Amino acid sequence: MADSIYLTGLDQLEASTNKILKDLTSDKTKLLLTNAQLVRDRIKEKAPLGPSTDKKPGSLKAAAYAAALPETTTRQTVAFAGIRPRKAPHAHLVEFGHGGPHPAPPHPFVRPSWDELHDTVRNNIAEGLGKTIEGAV
Amino acid sequence: MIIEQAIQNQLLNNAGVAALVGTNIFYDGTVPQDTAAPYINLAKISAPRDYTHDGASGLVDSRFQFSIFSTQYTQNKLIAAAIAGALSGFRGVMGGAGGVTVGRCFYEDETDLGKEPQTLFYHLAVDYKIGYNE
Repeated sequence: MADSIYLTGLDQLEASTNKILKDLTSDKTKLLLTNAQLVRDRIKEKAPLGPSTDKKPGSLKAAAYAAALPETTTRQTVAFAGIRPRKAPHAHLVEFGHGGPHPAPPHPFVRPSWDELHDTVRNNIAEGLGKTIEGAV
Repeated sequence: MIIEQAIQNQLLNNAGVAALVGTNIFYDGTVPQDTAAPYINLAKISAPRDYTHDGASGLVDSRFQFSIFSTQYTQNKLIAAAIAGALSGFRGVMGGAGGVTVGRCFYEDETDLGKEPQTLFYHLAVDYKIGYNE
């Protein structure tokens, strides 16, 4: 008499896998955006105000932004945190310093923000994706 | 010895860097008036500290920016390469006797900041992540 093996639950496995993929696709953009906003807020905190003679003090803080683009067939999900160059075209001169006409040393605010937060952001993303996967199973 | 002095010594003692910039390596945020290019201005950008349940670990994960100024774009690139020869991948005591113990030194980033209109110097900023014991 030949032994027989019956596999059951393949439908549920397929459904769970599909749900994980669907949930991950929708949740990861939100997750990346939330974390980009965290970095943006730190950039805003650290952005220097400039001299009191400045025509528009706080322009760097106002130019801080965060955005996320969802995944497409040709691009992975991507998130940004930084300074809008059209709103604050001098941001790189503040961040990196310059040699003239009035030489200024660097007054970095973007890179320190990232250096302080990258471990937190990495952990948040790992934790968030883990929760999405657990929730889908 | 502070880490800035250790880095300065490390660069001054490197034949490649010395041949290109001589002793024009500064770390206090200012460059003396009328300094002839090329020169390197070193700045600490960030230095997050590491903590354990026992308190401060004494490890610092710092980022340094080397602002390179010279009259030629290609010379900036040569200086950046010379700095990499002195620092990239370095492990050990930096800066000679009484120096700073460095666990890692990574060439992190490079940004071309163009030709400055008044000084006519090209500006190249290179970033290093340096992990050291304080």
